Amino acid sequence: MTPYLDAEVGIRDREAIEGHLGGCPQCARRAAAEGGARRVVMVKASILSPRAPDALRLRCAALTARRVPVRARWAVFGWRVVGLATASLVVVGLAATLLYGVVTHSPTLLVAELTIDHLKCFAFFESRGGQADPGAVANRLQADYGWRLAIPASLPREHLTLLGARRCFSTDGRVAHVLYRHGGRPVSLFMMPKTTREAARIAFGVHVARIWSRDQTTYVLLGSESEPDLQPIASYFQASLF
Amino acid sequence: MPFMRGRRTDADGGAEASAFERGTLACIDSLYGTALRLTANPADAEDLVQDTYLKAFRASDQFQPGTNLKAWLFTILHNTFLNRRRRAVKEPVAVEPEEIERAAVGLPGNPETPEQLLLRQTLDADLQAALDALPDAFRQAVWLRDVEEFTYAEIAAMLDVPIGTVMSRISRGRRMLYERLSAVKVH
Repeated sequence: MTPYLDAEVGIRDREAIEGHLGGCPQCARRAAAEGGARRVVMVKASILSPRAPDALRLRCAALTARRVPVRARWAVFGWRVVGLATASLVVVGLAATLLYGVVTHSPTLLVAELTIDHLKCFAFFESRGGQADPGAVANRLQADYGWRLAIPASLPREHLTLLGARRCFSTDGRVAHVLYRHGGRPVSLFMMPKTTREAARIAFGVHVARIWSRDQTTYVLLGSESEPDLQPIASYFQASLF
Repeated sequence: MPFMRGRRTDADGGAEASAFERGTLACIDSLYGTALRLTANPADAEDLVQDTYLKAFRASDQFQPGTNLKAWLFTILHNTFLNRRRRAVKEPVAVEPEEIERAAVGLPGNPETPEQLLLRQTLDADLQAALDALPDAFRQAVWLRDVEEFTYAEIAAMLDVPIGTVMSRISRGRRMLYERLSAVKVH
């Protein structure tokens, strides 16, 4: 029945089927039902398939930006969308992409690339209201990507709110990006399973980052606050993750 | 340059890469619509599409120019979705054979053909709901055939099932869809 309705049968087969349908009410009703449903779906296909959101288009287009020359990258991605206004960040962003092959070895360049993701993800991330549940976030990361990660919960006394987590596309999608707000300002905790690095503190433009590793997972805490303001959060994360 | 590692840097290589990227990005609406049908959740659909593109770009050297790029992307999409679902806990979806068979009866005593009646009376929201209510296997088959217009062979490759199974799922899905749409009209 299906190939007949889809006009996938030859002339002789079609004539034979139509001959049968003429004398078999049950098959004729089945053909009418399936053909009717097929036709409705085909006619209304444009309504059934919504346009992809603009934010998704930009994120996917940004993935192609890794594959084109640097000069064209500006036109493809449009850095103004994520508000990369500081010249130092732009220069280091260029340096990070030019040295893509060594970004995983240099902590400074790692922080540079993660800062770009920090800005991009917060620009596109739509919080669904309120704080997220750390257990639900952890379960989703495990279900979607196979990562078993502990997610620090919100900390009201420090005005720290867990927003959610995404898979970030730095280092070929091997990074879990957990998003928080600390006193209203964006803070990111990146987690890289199966990696180990030396501890480090790095200042990058207006951002500061702390890197540490434990049990074959590397953590990077990144925010646009001063080192003293970030210290309580860093201590909390380090304590709650172990 | 390191970020071009593994790819040709001459003009032809750059043009080929650009054509590949343009071709893949042109499919984003179809991929998103299908992802939405698979996940029933806009946020999950966006993540699924993004993951699909990441995998597609990483595996771009495996794509054979001249073959169906859209079908290749949809195969990645479905495999990614299935891999995620295997790691998640899912309740089995029941399929009621009786419901499928009732769809073959049709509407008695109506001068319009069933197709004409459905086209005239089916509201967009009713069709959306009826599609979403189909069991996953049937919905995927009907969607890929009637909306995305893939061949049986392409659908079989995407879903990793025999062509005969694809045809059977399309048939049962259409019948079940007709049954649900007709039931909406009765009320």
